[in-house]
Amino acid sequence: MTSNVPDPLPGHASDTDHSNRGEPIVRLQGLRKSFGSVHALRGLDMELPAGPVGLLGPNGAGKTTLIGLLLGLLEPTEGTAVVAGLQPTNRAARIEIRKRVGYMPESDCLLPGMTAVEIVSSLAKLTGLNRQDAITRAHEVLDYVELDEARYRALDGYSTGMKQRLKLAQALVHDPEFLLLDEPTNGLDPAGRRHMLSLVEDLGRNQNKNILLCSHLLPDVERTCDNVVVLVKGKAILQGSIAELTAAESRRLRVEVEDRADRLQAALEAAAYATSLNEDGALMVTLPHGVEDADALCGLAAGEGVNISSIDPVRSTLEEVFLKAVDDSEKKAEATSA
Amino acid sequence: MKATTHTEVYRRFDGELRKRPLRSVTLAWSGIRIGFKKKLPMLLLFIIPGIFTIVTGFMVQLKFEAESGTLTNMAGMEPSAQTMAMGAMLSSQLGQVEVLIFQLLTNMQFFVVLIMGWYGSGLIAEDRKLRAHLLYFARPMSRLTYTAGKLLTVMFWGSLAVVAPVTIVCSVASLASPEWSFLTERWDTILKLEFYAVLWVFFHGILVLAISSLTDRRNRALGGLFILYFLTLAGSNAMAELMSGQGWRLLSIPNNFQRIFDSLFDQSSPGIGWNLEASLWVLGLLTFASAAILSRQTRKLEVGA
Repeated sequence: MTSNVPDPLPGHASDTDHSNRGEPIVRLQGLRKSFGSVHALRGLDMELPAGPVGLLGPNGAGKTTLIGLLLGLLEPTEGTAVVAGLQPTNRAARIEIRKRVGYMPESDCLLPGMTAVEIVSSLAKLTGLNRQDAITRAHEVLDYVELDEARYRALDGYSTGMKQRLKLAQALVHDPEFLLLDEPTNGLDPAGRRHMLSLVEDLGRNQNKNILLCSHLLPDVERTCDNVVVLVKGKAILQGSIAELTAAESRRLRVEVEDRADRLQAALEAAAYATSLNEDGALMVTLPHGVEDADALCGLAAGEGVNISSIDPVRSTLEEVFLKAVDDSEKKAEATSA
Repeated sequence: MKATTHTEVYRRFDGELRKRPLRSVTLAWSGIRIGFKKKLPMLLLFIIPGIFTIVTGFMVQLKFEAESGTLTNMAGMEPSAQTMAMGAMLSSQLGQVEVLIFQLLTNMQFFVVLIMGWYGSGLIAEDRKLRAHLLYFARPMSRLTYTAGKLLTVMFWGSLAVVAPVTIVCSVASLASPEWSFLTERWDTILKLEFYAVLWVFFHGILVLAISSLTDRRNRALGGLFILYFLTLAGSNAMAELMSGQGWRLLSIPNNFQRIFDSLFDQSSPGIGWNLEASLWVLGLLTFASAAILSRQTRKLEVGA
């Protein structure tokens, strides 16, 4: 994903149509942000491709700072950020960016006492829609998120799911080209989570919205996003297509046997294979160096008199990829400091 | 691929965003609407200012009505003497009505602080508590617009408590006075009254917002306002008595406003003998400090702190 970033016109919209899926929606080059002695971002170089992208990272990784920079709320200490073709070099450009970005915050952030229609239409007017458009548009997005009659009720009686959908509606009200969704499934029950994810999925896959989805829930990201960026301590330690990152590894195999799995496991370990036994009785096997296929494994099984019913390459989950990336990063940091 | 649980269609927006929308007015209006929805506090807070306004309006009306009978008694007088007598009587009437309106303004001032405190304390504090500012600053809105929107909200409630009553009573006086004489003869007083009321509302509005921006609890902001207000008032008066120095009274906000009031309407209040400039300096410094606090705190809100 990382590449040389061309010089955009500072503070001006580029001629590129950012709804075009080929063009990156965000380009960061050497982006640093420090708050006194605290370095929140330490030289980010990345391009967020159009479409839905997941942003992962442990607490304190710099996700909130990155969102602030993408919204033009913060100025980078060093480096450049280009969002939807605009470079937030001055106040006017930073304000302009916010017309093109829709933000759904993680926190509750909705003032009680107002109805959903009032909130969404007020926020639409604050974005710049005229009164008539604001009301029409408020109803359209509230229809979309399926807040039916509840839209005329004060927020005080809303469930968490309804509040989350309302927050999504306000982010969509001006039909932005880039959506920043911060933990959209936070606090939702399974049904509410499923509903929210279906909305995010629809926006990203069917409505061609560019989305940056920040979440701690890796299955959510895996379901709704095509690409992922992992931030750790202000650095992007991993970025790429989820399909590629979780692609099946030819060296890891799932072996199902009819019986005597323990006997095969002992034989494999004696031959320098790394193995583990799953709860369902399947053996997870990693081929040792120098062994390129499963032929030798089949030979060992035949020698032990064990019948193999299936051998499949193992596909990593996003969680495994994420944890491995974070572990590697920590080991690297420890080695550097040592 | 259509999401399994989702049946509604997403519609694109093909309209245009306005170049210069009045965002602060929109923000203020949404704040005012929330205020109007809380009926009981509104009733309790505005009932006394409302009664004051109605009573003063009646008294002003009666003042002009009562003197109208005297005119008939002047019928037998010489024309020149009649003119002089009528002029003197009208001048006296207008003076008495002015005093009534001054009393209304003075009586209303503390209710205005209470009302502005009630409606203004939560404006920034509640935003901070709920992190509602994230929704505002994620839109093309500057800190100045945000502050102006909040200031307009709190000033609306303050104006409803003091500018509106003064305007109503001045209108009653103008209509009830013979040939609109209150409007034609005392227009400068009306303007000064409105100016003073707006100045009071503006100063207290910015003070309330500054205090509100320092906390994330509405009640704390309200408490802070009253502690600042009444401690400085009581403390400065006590120090002035103990130290026998009127200068101590400069520490109190109402005393400084009283000095401006005296200067505007040629009045003299006991214990307030310092220069007008001193009061202007004190209130100017407080306004500057409040604006500086607001600027700093809204910057923190803007960056999501």
